[in-house]
Amino acid sequence: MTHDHNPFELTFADHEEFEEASAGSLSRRDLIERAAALGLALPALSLLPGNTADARAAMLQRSARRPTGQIVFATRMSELGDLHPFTARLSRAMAVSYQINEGLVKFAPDLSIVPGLATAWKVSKNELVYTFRLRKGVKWHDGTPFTGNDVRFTFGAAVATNSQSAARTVLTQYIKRLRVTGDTVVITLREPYSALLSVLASQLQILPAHKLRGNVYEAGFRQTPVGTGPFQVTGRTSGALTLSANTGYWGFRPYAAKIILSDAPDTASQQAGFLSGELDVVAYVPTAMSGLRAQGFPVYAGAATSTHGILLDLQNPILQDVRVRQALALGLDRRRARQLHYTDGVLADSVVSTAYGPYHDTKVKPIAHDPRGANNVLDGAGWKLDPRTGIRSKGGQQLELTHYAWPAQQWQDIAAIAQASWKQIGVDVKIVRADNSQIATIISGKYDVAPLGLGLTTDPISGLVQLLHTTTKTFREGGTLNVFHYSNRQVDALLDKAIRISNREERIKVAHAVQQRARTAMPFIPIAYPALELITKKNIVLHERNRGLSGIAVGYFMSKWQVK
Amino acid sequence: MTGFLLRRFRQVVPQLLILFTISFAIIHLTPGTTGAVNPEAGVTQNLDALREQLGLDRPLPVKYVDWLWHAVQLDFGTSFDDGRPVIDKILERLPATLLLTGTALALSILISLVLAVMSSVYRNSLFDYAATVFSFFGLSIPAFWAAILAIIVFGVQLDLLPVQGMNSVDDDGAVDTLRHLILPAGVLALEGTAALTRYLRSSMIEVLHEDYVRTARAKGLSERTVVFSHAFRNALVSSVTILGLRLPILVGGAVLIETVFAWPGIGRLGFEAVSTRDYPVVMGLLVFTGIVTIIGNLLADITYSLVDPRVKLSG
Repeated sequence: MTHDHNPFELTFADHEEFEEASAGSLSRRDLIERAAALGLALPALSLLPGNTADARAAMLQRSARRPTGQIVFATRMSELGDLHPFTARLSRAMAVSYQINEGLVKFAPDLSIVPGLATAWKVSKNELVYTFRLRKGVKWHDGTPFTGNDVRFTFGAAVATNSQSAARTVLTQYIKRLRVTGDTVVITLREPYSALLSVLASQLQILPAHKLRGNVYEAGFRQTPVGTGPFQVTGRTSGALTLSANTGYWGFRPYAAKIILSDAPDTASQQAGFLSGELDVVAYVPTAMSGLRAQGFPVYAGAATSTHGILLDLQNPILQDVRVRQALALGLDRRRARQLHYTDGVLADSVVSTAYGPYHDTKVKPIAHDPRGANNVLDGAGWKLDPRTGIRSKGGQQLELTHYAWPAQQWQDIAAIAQASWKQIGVDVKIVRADNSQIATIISGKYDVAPLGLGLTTDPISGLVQLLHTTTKTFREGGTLNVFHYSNRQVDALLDKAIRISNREERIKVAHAVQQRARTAMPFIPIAYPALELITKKNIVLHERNRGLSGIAVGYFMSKWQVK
Repeated sequence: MTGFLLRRFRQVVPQLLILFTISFAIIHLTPGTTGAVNPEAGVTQNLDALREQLGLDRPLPVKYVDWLWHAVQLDFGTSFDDGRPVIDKILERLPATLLLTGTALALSILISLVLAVMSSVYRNSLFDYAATVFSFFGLSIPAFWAAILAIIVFGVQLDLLPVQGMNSVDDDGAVDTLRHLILPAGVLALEGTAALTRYLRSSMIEVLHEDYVRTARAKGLSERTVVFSHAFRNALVSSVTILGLRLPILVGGAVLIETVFAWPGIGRLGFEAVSTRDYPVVMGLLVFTGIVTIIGNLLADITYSLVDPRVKLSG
């Protein structure tokens, strides 16, 4: 497959002179490596800010620790069909792919950007030029050296007209020129785009040019990709995927020699496999597995990046009145929903999950369950209660809403809770059951009310743009998550500004301001940030305290699981 | 025989065409779209672009003709899930399913023959009552419940047998596969055994009252000869029909059992494909299973002539 169209200029000059990249953003790991080379590693560690324990571990493990043992994770093999970084669509596959193929930069568990195949980078003052220094001595899992040619190949493949990369839209829109010279990569943008590093980390894992030059989407590669990451695929059957630690890995070497992702399709079979000793780690379902926890098996929990709640379609004239939306939020018994389905989760008040750390605004006013207050708000909005029917009406129109509910029990229950809660405030709710395959069509049209888990992108500002920026595109047309049809000029201006600046503090301020406005406008009633949990055998330990990304825990923390 | 086969093959062509058309229609008339949203994760994707990429935006007749042309060559396209040829995915899973369902079928036949013959010969005995209770038990309990029960007892409580997949993670030997096979095949055989025992027992009782059986006994033949040479062979005819009807399960897989035991067979492939609207795989499986069923029926017809000489294939 050839790249028949490159919307930005790609240059590659192996022997040209290149400008020296600044060491201004030299990473802590680079510093350790260089210090180690000079025999100064341990003293150097004491000079570093932050948690030096991780850094110490990263350094010491190079010489001392060898990966040992194997851990069998329960998984659904059907979700691991495609591990190609460009075409893996399901979050579990993407998480596994992330351990095999790496980007120029990567995410730390707290979502900060850390070096990947680039050891350092700098951003020009006008935020239009990004210069990366490529890591030397890295080898692909098949032993072939990683070079700048692989970077150039990957960018070319990602922007080709036949590209299936999720990054294509951003790359073609923002990148003006890519220049690869020796071990330096220079990306020049058309206009500032602060989420570039996040996109490079999450959507542009580097591909091996020597393997895919003939066909970027070669079927064998999609099954057993070759990367540079901490794990390599060493076995695959229809029942299991075996990942072995890359012993020559440049970074944090995995604790476990092997991670086996074994097919266990449903909760019952996972629990049975766990009890019979065939599975070491399974997804913990509080409602079905509390007995296991009581037996002392450790449970590792973390907040998911998604926020579960109820979408309100502002195309409906009734819901265009913010007072009606506020009343619906006040009237909804969210605690009941949490009790039923989010036992270990957190009651949500903002559209940004706690998993996003400082981007989550803890000062957002909690949404109280206040049916009396909701009734007062609706009275004030002119919706009069008919004592005979118990339903409110205004100008001859009854306060009726259609609530879609997807097949899973939690969505059915949320619909039932909403129906019962809102009946108390005079709102008549009709529940319509629909299949998952109809969701895209429904939320791309007119729907009144529907529950959904809103998953922001790894860059929260980009996620908020998708969620709340004015758009004329439907979900199906553009992938935008603004399925409420919310439009606010101030929010648009804030987001337009934030997407152009890379200063983290400024971006966090904007994220907070937008969350406050969303809390007031209430196009979405947040219910909970689900907890995603894993239960393990007693001899399995996870060495990662920050579990904000636990939604994709198996993938992101794979190196940190240890067999004691 | 040759004339019969030729005539049946002529019938197979329109049958296949109807099968292909119905398979295509069922899938494309089902509401919903490929690229279903996971409401838990709320993954964003440009679904229209995805549909264009997968060729789903083309007019239905164009898609049908294109699909039909390739399907008759057993080219069912590539899976939306991982881009692999559908036929490869089916053939990859087929051995696991054949092993499971074939073993279950063999167990069913073996056990039910013994139970049915003994029950009919010793009718209204304690053995007959026990076999009847067993049969109704097998027919009444849902397969998934029996599977979970078997897992709890043999996998968890007694820790005798593995309950996950086809092989252990560190062992892919034949003995290991056999150990993994025991529980799913046993549970799957339970229902088949129960049904077959009931049918065969009824047939045997009916046949044992026929005049020719009485004549055989009157001739002074041993009871063993009467039962096995005269009664049993005739009783088998009706069971061939039942066995023929089980052929689609043989290749189509046992969805529930394969799911509960994480058995990597065709049943699970189909279930996963339906869940993710992987049309090429679903259609490929429908057609593949349909073809095998048609061939199975043909084989059943031929088998009739072998077990019952009165059936004339050329007639």
